[in-house]
Amino acid sequence: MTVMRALPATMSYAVGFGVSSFTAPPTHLRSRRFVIVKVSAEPSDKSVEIMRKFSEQYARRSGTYFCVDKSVTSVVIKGLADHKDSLGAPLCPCRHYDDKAAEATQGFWNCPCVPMRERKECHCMLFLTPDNDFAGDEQVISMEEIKELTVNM
Amino acid sequence: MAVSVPTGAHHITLLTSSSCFSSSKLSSLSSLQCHPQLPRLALSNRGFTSKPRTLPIVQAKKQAFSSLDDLLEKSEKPVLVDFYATWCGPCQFMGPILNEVSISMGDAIQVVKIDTEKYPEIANKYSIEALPTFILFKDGKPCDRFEGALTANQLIQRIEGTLKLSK
Repeated sequence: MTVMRALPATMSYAVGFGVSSFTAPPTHLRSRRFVIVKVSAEPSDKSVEIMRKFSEQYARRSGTYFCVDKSVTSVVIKGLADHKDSLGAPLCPCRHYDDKAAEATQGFWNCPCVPMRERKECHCMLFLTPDNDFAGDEQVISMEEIKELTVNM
Repeated sequence: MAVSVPTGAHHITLLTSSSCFSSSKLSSLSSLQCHPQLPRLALSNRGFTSKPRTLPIVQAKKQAFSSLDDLLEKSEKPVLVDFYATWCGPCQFMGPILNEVSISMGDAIQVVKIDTEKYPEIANKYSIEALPTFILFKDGKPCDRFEGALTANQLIQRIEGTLKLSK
């Protein structure tokens, strides 16, 4: 029986599905019957940067603010980036879907979603109107903040 | 609670009372044992991948039930189910809050979290759309349902209010 150590969240971990890349295991492990498959549990830095910039611009444009707790903002930005990587579009990460690919194509829930564009309703707590209890006073978030606040994911 | 998997059965591992890294706080939660190390569990059923799945170690109480229905049926206390996703900001925000509520309400309720991306069947069964969605079950049946993040006090008030009404 193999026992797994607890892994820090920033490391990739081996799972039995969703293979996005294969890396040959290090030489000392190749003699055993290991197949190590690296699956990325994190969105790409490039997509995170794109969604970070988008979030700052859109908050300014819509007159909304990030949550007082910026970890909420960070998680959502990473969620948008993750969907951008896997689906090609930043589908809202705070919803459950029957068919994600179909939804990404259809577009209603692609950020900025229709409820946000029409009524400034963002249940992800990414863009908050000033009267919202959870709204802070910032419309900026740095890459460092995002990384620090999601290190334990 | 056995963690072994009989052939053909499907097992869902539910994270009860959210991730809690303080062992002193666990004493007020249910009396089940912690599993510091999990063996590889082979999950095979329709709707789940048939490849062996390695579960990460979490320092919270994990139990194996044959299904959520099984857990709901067997529970003597009301069960608050939190449907969440990894990259949903408000869902992560609710993590510590659920922990706090679970502790302060003690034996009054059991808190269960379901990752809707790992268990889409369950999410579909309960028509989950927005995340987080909370469903409070009493006697195995949903008796309240609400969406979105709220503070610990608001959550406690809502739960107690619902449970008083249904008495």
